[in-house]
Amino acid sequence: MEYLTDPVFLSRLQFALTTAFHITFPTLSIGLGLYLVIVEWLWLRTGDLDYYRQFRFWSGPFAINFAVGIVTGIPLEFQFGTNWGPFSATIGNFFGHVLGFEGSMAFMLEAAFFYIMLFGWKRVGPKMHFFSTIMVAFAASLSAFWILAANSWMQTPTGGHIENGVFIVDDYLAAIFSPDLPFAFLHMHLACLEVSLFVVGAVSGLWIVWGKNVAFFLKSFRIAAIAALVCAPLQALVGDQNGLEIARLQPAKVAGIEAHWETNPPGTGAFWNLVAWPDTENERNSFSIRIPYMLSLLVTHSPTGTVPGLKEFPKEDRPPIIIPFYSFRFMVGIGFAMVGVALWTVWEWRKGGLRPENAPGRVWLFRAWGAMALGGYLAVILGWITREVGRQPWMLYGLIRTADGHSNLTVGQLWTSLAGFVVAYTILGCVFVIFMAKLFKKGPDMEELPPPGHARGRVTAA
Amino acid sequence: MDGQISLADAWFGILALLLWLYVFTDGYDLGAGILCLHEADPVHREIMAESIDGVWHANQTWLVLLGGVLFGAFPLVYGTVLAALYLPAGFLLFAIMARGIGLEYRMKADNKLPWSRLFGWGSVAVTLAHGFLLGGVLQGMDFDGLHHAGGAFDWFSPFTILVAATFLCLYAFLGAAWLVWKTEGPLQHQSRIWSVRYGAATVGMLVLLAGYIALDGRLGFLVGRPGQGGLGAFFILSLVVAVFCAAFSIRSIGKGGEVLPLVWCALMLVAVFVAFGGSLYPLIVPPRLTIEQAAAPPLMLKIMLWTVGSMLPVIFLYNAYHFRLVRGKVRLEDETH
Repeated sequence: MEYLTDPVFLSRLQFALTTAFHITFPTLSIGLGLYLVIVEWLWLRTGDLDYYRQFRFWSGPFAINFAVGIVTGIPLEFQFGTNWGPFSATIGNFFGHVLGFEGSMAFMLEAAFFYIMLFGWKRVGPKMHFFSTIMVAFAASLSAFWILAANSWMQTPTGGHIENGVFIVDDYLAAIFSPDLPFAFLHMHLACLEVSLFVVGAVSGLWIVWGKNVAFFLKSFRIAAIAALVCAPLQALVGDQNGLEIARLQPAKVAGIEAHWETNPPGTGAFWNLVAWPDTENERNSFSIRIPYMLSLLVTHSPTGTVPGLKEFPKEDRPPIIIPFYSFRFMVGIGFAMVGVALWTVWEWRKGGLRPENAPGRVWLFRAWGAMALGGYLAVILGWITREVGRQPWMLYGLIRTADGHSNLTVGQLWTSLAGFVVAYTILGCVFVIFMAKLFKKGPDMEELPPPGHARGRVTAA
Repeated sequence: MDGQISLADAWFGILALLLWLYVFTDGYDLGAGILCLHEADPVHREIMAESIDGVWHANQTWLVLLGGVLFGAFPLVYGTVLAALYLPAGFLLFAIMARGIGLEYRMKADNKLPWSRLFGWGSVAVTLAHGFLLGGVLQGMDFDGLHHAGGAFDWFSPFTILVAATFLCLYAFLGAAWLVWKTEGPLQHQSRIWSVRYGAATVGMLVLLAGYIALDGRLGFLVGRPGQGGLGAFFILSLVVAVFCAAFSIRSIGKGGEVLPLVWCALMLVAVFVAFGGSLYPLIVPPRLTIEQAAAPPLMLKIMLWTVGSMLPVIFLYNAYHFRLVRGKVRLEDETH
């Protein structure tokens, strides 16, 4: 196991673990923040007290999720300095700016308005409160934009060149809006919405099945169902476009993800491997289940489009295959399952399955929502694994190799921090789940009234 | 140096300002956490935690911004110093997590004591990490290219232990002054006692620190040009000002001051920053790395000044608005959770 004493591998493992853990929190913050905007808007428009209580009910989990997001996010920024020092010293004068923007624009905005949104009901009027909710949601998405801008630039580093070991920016905007950014951001943002919608729907479904506050939770479930029906198919389209872009920008990555060794000769279509086991030694797949023309169709949208195989690239520039190959397939599978569940929900809805008297019996529908909530988180992590492992062996694509960007750290130091993160995040994760479950089980306070100065509200029958 | 202030110097100033904001704002909320460990009354502990509950997210973001600015304006420092201080930097991150979790979950928990303890000891841990990190930079380090030329435990020395102990007293002082402002009744009275006690301890530690620097010849670069040694007049003068500020803070506590003790604390911290920052200039990481060498290319610094720099006033504005909203004494029944 030479991996266990390889400093570069240990730093990568640490970054992967801490990022995978962290990313789940902003994912929910982004979507749940927008959900809070929707219910507050509905509350202001309709005066229906259920929407006010929806806001109060979901803002509790939002707060915990947000706080854990902050404390787990800070280590990521600092790991660039601690573990990837030479990389940071080379690219800091661009990369650091982008993280600085994230800190100064998004993070600050979010932290400032977060308090008003959560605890400001008595201190500000309805308009200011609604504005704060919008700002929190906006800041969360803005934050995602800057993080994706930084990451996309690592995938497609445009706008400058490396001179004497320092990245010199020639075109600032070209560096921020690197070619990979538009679809990567859309893809991630939609993923955040999907996860959050399925979480909202799954928690609502739990209460509906219990037969408690059914009318109240059908309101949140319907919002989630409608939005999921829009987002899930849209994600399939955006994901497809994202794939086309990556095939254009990082052909080696696509060849790795697809375990595609030989470039298809002109006039023929490239096979798509549904399942494969690569044999990197002999540059072929030990076995595979293949579908003709499919790969050409997928990544060029033409049955005979040329797809460069791995053999086109020098051995030392090829990405690993097994991990991106399978993480990509599971991610796509979950994405289509989400489309399926969204369609199933609409079908049930049309049949009257979402009427208060029928809904508690639709146990399997709500179980599917629960599975998709967990699956959504999994898909986000798998997607990032595909993206980042597929970028290897480069840290800054085509310019800086991962091994060259690493700090001079001892294996002892790395194991100390890695063990620390594993222990800390395990405890943190368990406590988070316990507290979230507690809040979700406690349910909404159906007696709660808005403070003076806000609309009085009325109770409607569902 | 031709007497002109360069872009790099301007960014050094901004960096110092952000560090000061972080140390001051996070200092008083860490201090409130440290003092929580002293307080036996659960209701008082609740008020103490509540007093910083609305502001600690905002205070924490100065660290994020500090990281971003250091990364962008001084990539060389970011890429070398953090790796050299790998263990205390990691320790800081764990401690921040532990503390944040203690504070956040305390609100929702039925048995608050364990979370309150986690919050308290987490605050102590963050404070110590601050001390070892800043002490680790101040005592100087050498580099071999982009890599730290030294051991993994260089940050642990008599000097850094002294700095860490100073931070404990300092933050407890800031926290007590904060609580004097934000609380009333018996807790405020208790906070006044803490302020005087920790204010005196802070002054004592600063004097001790200055004495140590004067006696340890290897730390000469801290107080003047390399090789000069001894305590520079500038350094001593600034520290004297700091001690006076601490004294004024304690005096205003005696006179029943509300916000004034905290204001004097802030000024004391400015003087300490001026003492160390001013003496260090033009170095950024002693004993060799200068501000100019470590800075990003001038064009980048200029762009950053226009972008991040122009965001700073906006950030100050909405922080001010935020703090205006949470103004006044903390009373438990005030909060709608």
